[in-house]
Amino acid sequence: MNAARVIEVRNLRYRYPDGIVALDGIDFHMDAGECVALFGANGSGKTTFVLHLNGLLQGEGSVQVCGVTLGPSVSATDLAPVRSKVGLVFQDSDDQLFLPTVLEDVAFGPANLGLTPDLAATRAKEALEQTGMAGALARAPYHLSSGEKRRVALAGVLAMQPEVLVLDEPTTALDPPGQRDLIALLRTLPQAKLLVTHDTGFAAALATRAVFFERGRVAGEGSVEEIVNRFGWAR
Amino acid sequence: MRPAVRETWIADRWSRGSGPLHSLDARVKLAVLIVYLLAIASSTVWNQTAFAGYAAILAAGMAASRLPLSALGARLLFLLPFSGIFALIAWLSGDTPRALALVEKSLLSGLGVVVMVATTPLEEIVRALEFFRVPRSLVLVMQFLYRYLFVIADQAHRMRMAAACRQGNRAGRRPRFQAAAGIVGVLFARSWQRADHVYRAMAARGFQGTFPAMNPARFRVADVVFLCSSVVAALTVRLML
Amino acid sequence: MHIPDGFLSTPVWLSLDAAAIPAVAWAARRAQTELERPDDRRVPLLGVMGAFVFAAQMINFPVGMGTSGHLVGGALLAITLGPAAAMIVMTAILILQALIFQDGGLVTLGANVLNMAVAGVLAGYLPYRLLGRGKARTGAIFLSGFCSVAVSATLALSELLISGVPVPRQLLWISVVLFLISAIMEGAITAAAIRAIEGMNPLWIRASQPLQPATVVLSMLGAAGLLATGIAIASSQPDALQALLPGQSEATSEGWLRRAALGLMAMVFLYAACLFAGRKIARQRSA
Repeated sequence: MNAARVIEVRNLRYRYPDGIVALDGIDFHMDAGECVALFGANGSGKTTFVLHLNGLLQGEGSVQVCGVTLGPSVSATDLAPVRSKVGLVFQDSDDQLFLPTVLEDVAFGPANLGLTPDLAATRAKEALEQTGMAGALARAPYHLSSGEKRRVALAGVLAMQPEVLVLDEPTTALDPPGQRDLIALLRTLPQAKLLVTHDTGFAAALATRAVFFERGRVAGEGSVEEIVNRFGWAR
Repeated sequence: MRPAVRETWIADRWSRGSGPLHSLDARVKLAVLIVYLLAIASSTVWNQTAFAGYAAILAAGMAASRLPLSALGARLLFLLPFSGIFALIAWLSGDTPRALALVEKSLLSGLGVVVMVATTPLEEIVRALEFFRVPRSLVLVMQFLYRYLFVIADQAHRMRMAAACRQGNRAGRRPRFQAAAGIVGVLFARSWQRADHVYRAMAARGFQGTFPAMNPARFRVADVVFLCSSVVAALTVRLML
Repeated sequence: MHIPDGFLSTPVWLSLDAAAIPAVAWAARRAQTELERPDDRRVPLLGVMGAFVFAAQMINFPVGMGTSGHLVGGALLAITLGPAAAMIVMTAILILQALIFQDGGLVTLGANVLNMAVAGVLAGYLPYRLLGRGKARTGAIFLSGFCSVAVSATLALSELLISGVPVPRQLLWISVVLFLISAIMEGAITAAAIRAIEGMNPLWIRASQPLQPATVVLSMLGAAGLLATGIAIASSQPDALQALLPGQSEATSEGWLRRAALGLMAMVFLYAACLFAGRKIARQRSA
């Protein structure tokens, strides 16, 4: 695998327990520092695909992340470092911020990596600084706005020092200023970024490449503008 | 239903304010509350001097909590009916001491809990429970419960609003009952799915079966002083008066 | 049904608090195996479902004459999560209700936990477990809801009576009628909710496997036996029971109700014991 390749997926197939085919032979790659947008209709397999990138789901085919090959034979302990390399920010921030205070939640990831409580807290504070939420340490997630929750969720993932960031519909429930702030923030982050989104403007502002999913397959690849035009994806 | 959630919200907001009681360690406050409650509950002989003693302790707590008096009045009204009825019965059958005991004990206890909750964020109270050897799994369940309580309560509220929009004024009992059952069903389903998503998010951040513990804060001089003085006060009232 | 602080006499709340501790500890350990899932999934599921019940308790179920009923949830939780997990969730709910709403006291938490989170959950599980497979499935679910509230309320009432809280005859009968109405509503609401849930995904409702016939007979006999013993003891030594009550109360003249309440308490605990014994026997037989 090319040293700069952070994600290499070949012929990934996945079938749900009830038999429905979700992914039907996906080929995908991402290089270090790249920003890629993932478009597709609801139900085309985008979220399912993304869950394979840190081993939450395991299908057939080859998935290599930062040099580690994922698959059914990989043990839970080998998966742990991969979970830290690929930071997944979910669509509903409420599902992701599950601990009582912001600091505790962001420190959850580093603590799971084996850091002592003090080191985990320090790492958490740094990540919160990076996302502009350093003032919210003792606040309860319920009291935050959706933009603030999004930034805390991102901090929770950054605190694990990932090499790849995957964001699933990150502009959901964000107002235009919130969206602008998120774009500005993401621009400052050096990690490779995979943006699953319906928002073509958001994608155009950040991504250098776009991939279009259709019924579990890659139907097209190109620049954001090309894909939007080819598949009629403009709003 | 909304007022109940909002009321919680108010106490939730107060608990994050500042004041002499707010800054004390939650474990110490909980210990003091328990001693106070046990002293009251274990008083088999109840006289008005004892009541005055405990009331003085409570008043000190209320003053230090910086709680607005109107809020306390509201809690008083809520606690009064249940004990009021039994107190009335006891008084009418000539047992005045018992009548007074019922009302006074329940008010003293209830308001004591209010002072605690109004000066301590609930997450800290729950975390303090672990210090008192409450099983960790129960503490974690409570933390998750409180975390998602308002999220799900808001969902329930929105669904009820939506149902009400389509029910009109003449909707009979049965359709409204069925609507409520349907809401409960959907709420169940969405909550179960949410639990799956939460677990997925936990796994995505490396969760391996046990929750990482946070360093417990140190006790400070103020905590020790508060603990000793309150316990001495409560025990004095209990044993002397 | 939540008993506030200040109502129970010291021997009552002390012994109930002491009894509640091992019960909750047992339920915590047991909930691990009962959910048939890896135990790391357990905590968020129990927490979120607890939030669901807490929120669902605030939903109005109109029952006519301008009144509405509310779900308590013990039976619903027992049928969907299993009895031990349901006990943990209900305990968590009760503790938070005591703190947030002062609904139930902290000293009386042991009593409320035993009444609603332990006895109420078990009483809400057994009818479904015994009868939930046959044609009377909806009836069994209704009975589960009914029994869970009926048992909790009766236990609460008897604890108040034993503590000497004055309850004149009229109030007693009013309370019994109110309990019956609440129990019927809980049965109806639980049945309606379970039907709605089942419609979306039948897997959420736990399968109701038939108990070994020997266990059923054993529990019935044991319950009857204990009830008879309780009544016999009470009628032969009325003075001893009178001595338990610190004050005079009109309710003491309703001796039969008190005896029945005591018998019921013992019966509920015996059901629990039979359930464990039955499970152990069943497992040994199939092993």
